[in-house]
Amino acid sequence: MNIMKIANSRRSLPSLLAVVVAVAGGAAPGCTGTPAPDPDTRAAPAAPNLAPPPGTPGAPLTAFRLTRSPRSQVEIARSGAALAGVLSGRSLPASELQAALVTAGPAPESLDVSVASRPGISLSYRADNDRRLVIDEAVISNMAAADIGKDAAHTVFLAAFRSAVSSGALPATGLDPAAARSSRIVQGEGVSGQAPIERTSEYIFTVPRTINGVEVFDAGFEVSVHRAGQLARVQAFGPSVASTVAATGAENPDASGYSVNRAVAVQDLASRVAAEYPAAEIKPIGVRYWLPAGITSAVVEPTQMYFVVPTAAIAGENIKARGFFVAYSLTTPGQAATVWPVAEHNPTGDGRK
Amino acid sequence: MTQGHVRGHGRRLAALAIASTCSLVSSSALATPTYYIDECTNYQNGNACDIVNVNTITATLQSSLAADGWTGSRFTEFSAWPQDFWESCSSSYGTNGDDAYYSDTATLAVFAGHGNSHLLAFSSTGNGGTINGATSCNVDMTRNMRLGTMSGAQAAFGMWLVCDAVQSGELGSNMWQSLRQQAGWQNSISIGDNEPRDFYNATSAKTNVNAWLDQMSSGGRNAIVATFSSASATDCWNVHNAAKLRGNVYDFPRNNGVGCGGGQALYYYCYSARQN
Repeated sequence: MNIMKIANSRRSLPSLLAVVVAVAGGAAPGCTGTPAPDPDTRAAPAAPNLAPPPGTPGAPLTAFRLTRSPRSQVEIARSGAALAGVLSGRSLPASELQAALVTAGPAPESLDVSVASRPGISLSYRADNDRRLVIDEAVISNMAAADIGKDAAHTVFLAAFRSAVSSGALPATGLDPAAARSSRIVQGEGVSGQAPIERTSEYIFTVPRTINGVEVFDAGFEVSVHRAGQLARVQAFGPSVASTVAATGAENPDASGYSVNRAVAVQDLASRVAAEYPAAEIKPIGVRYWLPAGITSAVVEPTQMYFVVPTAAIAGENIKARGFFVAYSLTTPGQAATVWPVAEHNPTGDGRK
Repeated sequence: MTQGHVRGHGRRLAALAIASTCSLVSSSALATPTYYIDECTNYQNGNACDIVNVNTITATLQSSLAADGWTGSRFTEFSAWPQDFWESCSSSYGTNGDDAYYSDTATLAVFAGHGNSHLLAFSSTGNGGTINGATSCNVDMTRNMRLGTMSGAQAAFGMWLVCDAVQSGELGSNMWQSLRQQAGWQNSISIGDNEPRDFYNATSAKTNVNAWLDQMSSGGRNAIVATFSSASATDCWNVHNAAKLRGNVYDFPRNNGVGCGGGQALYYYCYSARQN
């Protein structure tokens, strides 16, 4: 595999780059894939699908360019205002947020600002995953409200999703609200010596960004609905995808993308990760497009991802190491895995002695 | 702030600092807060504490704290000792406990490394202190730690940058200490290099609770922030919904008045937690 030019990479991460392929202008020389067809060809009726099933060698895969360039102040303000409009149900002039961002620098790595005209509402931005989050602390801190229940909260979520798409705060491509995952924020309380009493504080619905059914890792749209029924948090996050959408709804890559066939079976990768990390808890994540933190743009193939937590028994205590994500190539057997976070054991602390 | 070049001298300096800090904190909740950070990343040293190496995550946190005028220390690797978090008033919490000179002298106490439920795992056995006659790589929050009370008694916020440390089901029993707030996770996690910094920076615009949940819940992480009160459940929630590290709201110790060797005084706890 020919590697590789990572656009605007913030640091050198050799192992991290192992399965991230950047291609300037068409398919990577020497790779087994082909450039994406032009839009007219893509719009033609699809031939019968005789491809091997997903997870088995021979199954077709497509590489796409993923990008999350740091946003300018203006872009952050525009996106944040749109999400704040969804959150509060009232439009917010981007100029107001922009005024609050003047001290943040031209392309801030991260920022958190309160919205002066909307007490309780704040905007957070994190460039490392293009996360734009607005929350309403006035809603979140409402302790007395009755619980509307998950089904009613889901209805609120759907309305928020529609609002985000129709207002332009969110591109609809690859986001299916019917596929949302649910989670919660709980609140609990107790007295010393007693177990806590818990209740749901917020119902959370997360819509993963997918490309033709394959998830983009840590990308999507998330809505938190307070137990009282108001929106508590709204966020959009993850890299953008360079693609066009065919009449069939399928996404096709731009000229930098390419097609390739899977060459490694999922069972082989499960055996590999178990062998490479024999003393660890290993959680399979699945097949994902992944643009690891620290890379702003690259053409990526789907990878098989795991979350690995090394463990050890030390003096009678079971210790869990902080975990890391591991991604294996589906097209190049034996290729070094992509790992994040990368251990960089070179901290310089204060002098002690 | 460094603790001095000679260990004993460092202790004397720290004791003076504590005396000064006490008067400031007790007279005003707006005193300039302080921090204490231990971080271990190199866990492959051929000693009994070996697991795997991990990324550095508190360097930029320290920079942000310093830029805001916070003072304190950040010790790493073999300068970060488990005994820094052991209660020092009595050997019943472990011999050579040092919290009166280190972790319990600061508003914000941080450990980054490995761990488990109510457990912080260091990369060395530190200063040779023992518990039950054996050296240890660890801080057991129940057996060893009494932050916010007894000796030192200045810590208000505990940030545990390890897997699993804060379990909601243990808040009534095993998290035996007197901090005002603790932040961590209920499951196994990874942490980005700048996430502790970004959490801290967000605590000017929003509460510690929301800043932690918003920053530390992505990727399937079950983030949790627990608040403790000596007064009532209502007071607990009032603090929970107001405390801000960077905003300097409730940046002072809870002071439950428990003396050396004393049992846990009655307390109320409340928390918010992500459940993926």
